Amino acid sequence: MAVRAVIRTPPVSEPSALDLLDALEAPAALLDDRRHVIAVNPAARIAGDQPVPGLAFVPGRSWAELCKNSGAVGPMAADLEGLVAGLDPRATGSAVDYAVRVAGRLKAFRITARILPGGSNHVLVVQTDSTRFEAVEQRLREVERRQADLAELTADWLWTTDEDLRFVELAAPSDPFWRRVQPKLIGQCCVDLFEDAVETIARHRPFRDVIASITVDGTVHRLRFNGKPIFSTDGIFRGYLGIAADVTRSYEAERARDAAQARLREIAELSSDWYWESDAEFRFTDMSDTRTKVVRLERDQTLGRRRIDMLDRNMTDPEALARHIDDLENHRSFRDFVYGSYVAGKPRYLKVSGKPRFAADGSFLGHLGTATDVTAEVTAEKRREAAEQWLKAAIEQMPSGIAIWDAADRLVVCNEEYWPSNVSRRPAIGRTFEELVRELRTHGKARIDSDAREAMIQERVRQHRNPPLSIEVALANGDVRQVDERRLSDGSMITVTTDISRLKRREHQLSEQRALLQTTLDHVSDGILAVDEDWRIVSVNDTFVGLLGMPKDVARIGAHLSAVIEWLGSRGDYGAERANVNAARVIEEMGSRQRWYDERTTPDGRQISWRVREMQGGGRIIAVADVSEQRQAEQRREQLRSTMAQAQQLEAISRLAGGLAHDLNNMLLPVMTLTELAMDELPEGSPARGDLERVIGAAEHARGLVQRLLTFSRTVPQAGGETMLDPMTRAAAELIKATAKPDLTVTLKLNVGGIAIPLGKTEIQQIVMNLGLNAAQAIGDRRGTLTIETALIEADDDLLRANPSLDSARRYARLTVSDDGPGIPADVLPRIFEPFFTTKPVGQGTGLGLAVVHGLVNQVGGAIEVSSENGARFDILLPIIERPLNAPEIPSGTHPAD
Amino acid sequence: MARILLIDDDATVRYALKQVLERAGHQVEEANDGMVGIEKYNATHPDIVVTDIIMPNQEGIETIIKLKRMAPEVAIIAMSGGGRTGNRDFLAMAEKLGAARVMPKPFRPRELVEAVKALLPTAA
Repeated sequence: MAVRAVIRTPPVSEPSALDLLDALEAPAALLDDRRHVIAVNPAARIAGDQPVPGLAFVPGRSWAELCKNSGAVGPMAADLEGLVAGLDPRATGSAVDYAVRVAGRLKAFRITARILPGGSNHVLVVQTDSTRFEAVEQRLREVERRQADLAELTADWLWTTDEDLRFVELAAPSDPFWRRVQPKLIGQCCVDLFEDAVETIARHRPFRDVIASITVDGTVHRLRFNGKPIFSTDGIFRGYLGIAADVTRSYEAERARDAAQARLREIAELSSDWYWESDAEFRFTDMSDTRTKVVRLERDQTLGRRRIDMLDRNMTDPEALARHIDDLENHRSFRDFVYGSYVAGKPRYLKVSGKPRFAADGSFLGHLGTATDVTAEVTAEKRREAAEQWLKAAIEQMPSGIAIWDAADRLVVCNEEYWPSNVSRRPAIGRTFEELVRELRTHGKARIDSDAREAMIQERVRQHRNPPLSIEVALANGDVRQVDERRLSDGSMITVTTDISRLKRREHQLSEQRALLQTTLDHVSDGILAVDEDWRIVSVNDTFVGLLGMPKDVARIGAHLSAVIEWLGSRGDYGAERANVNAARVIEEMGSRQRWYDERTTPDGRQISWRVREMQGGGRIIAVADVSEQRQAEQRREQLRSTMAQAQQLEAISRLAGGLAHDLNNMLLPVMTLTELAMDELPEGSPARGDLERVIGAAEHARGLVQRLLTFSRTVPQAGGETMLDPMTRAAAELIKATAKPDLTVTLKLNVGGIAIPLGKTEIQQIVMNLGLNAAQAIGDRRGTLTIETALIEADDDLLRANPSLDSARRYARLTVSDDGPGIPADVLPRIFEPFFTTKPVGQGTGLGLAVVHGLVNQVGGAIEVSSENGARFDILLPIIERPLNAPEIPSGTHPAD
Repeated sequence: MARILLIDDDATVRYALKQVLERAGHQVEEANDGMVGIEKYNATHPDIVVTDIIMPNQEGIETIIKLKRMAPEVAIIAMSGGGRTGNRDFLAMAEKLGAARVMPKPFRPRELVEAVKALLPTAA
């Protein structure tokens, strides 16, 4: 700005200079040529006895003294003194910024000094308050500079009115602006201009800072007027004397500054609740207007105190606090430091950010910043953290692996189980699913080619992104996991893994065992089929279907056994007339006993045996075997046995016949010889000759008979046929009763009902009668009881051991004939079945009875057990004919049809 | 005429056959079992031995074996009424062991006479 004439010679010189001083809004002082304070204005004296902030302008004191006591901080103190000493009378002035502590708070001030023109060597010193925020500070500096300029200008324009308040003088002839304003104002009543100060003016009182608007060349100018009344010595009002300044720019600047400051606060307060300032000792020096009660309270408690003394350490993260203190002490910026504090007895959380302020010389002034009441957020956060901790703890306790992923697929939380302990340490929160899968799949699988691995990883990630899913995953370390994934309502994903390695291993073992079993089953010669308790097929081997010539589909796993029976029925295994076999009945029959046996003939003539056994664990196992060869072999064996028996019988007979023949022949020899000799003695024609001829003829005939006897091979009775045991036993018993003495009691206990045995009626009768008559004869003339019983028995192990001829697969009927007679002597017992052995008197027994019984029982594969205790007891075990299913039911106790 | 040793345990048989042979002009010595028969043979050295097979003490087969060992030239007629295994077998055995003739009992008197005659030297 161009240097202008500063002060014109005022109409009233001294007083007006002081008045001028008074009119300055900033604290100001006038120094004389010795640089002593000769006058101060009211702004330097406001607040009564209290010194104004900054350099105190004390009248009478030298500038140097003032500077010494300035309390200025830092190197600026020295500059203050030099400011005045080094003033150049031709310069418009110079300024020094300095900082001073006011009420514990650093404040910056600017001292502007200039030598007043006019040769008096007086110095005008004006002190202005510097600013706080950098942006505002800068603006304010500018404003200050302008103010300083304006301060110069304030001395330029003087105005006076007459007692009628009409402008009489406007002393600014050299200024083009004022020259143009002048005609507008001279003669005009100032009241019209000073509308805001009408009352004051009417009462002839001084006024300050009255802004008047004057339009010049279409532009509105703001003029500030200060004025004081002038009275004559007798007290008569003479008019106003004052100064005026064009404050258009200052006004705008101030408005702009106010707006900037307001905006700054607004911004600060928008992003926070309030702003604050602290000094170099970290004491709060300022705090913005309060909008909430909390902040009001905070403000009331806070000014002059340090934050770190007020915060509650229990409510504050110690690390964050340490960091904060470090930031403070090192004069650094800090952001979002959250601390807890009790405000009016209530816990509050505050979040503060701040930045350091430095003076122009680099010295630390303190911090300024913003603060926000984040109690609600922190409380919510703490609650959330607690919930999260609880969730984490809960998850940690889960036996399954659990991981939760956020919507961006980053790990939020997972437990120990989720991450296989032998892979590596637990994955870091925040890593993506894909990263982790890559780590898991890569671990320990160096031999897998990378393309394949990449494909696996991609596939897994693809699955993960398309929930829900439930899959089994084989990990690189060999573990197998069941993985279930679901998307949660908030878009996050939960993964639940269960280690099923053991299950898998067991499953594997089981399937191996099952395969082994199946292989075994497939290689056994019998067809095996197992059914569960509901007769559903649980296992079947190839032989089963192969043997029966059955499509595999019929006897598939899970099918009901009835399907198999029905198929066999339709093929004719149950007879042509039973194509629609009642499978339910067949199965009921199979299940009626622990062991069940049947033989069926296939249409192609093969004999198939069916053995059904109850399994210990429930269900049944069915074994089928082709017994055609076995049956043929048995048949051959049977024939052989029959032939042998026949041969034995023949031998016995021929031995008998031989003995007889020998004796007879020996007897016939003398008969024939002597008869012939006698004949020779008789004369020819003697009638005796004819008789002797007949003797010889008879003897010859006898010889022929003997010869025939020798070749006689009529056999003993033959086994064969099929007879129901009980009815025939009863018939035989009737015969015994009929022939026995009346003293003999015959007791019958017949218990086998419709059971048939493979012997003819005659043979059964012969067995019963032989044994019964033996008993009757043993009892003799005594009173006695003959007991005849039949019963169905299972061939148990003991019985099988004692009688190797018995077949464990067959069932037997037991015919017991016992008496209470004298029993059988021990020396006789081993021989009783020998043919021709008899203990009976000659003529009473043939010695063949028991031999015949023995032969018959042997032929049918039965057995005889003999005991002699309190009488003789014969147990005859006879195999029963398992009645085929299609055999007609025979009512028990009746004779079978022949 | 021949001297004949007749061995049979049955006295009636011996009597009947002795009648037959004596009437045919032969001289008959008797023995009731094989042991006696051997003794008699050693004592008399008959021309022909007629022996039964089935006898107590020493039966005919053994007797034939012993006689043949002592006097290979001896003529033996074996006879049997049969045996526990059938008379034919014993007689066949006797024939193999050296019996000149075998005769199943009973037989007609002339069958024996002819058998003896056939065993005698043709001319004396």
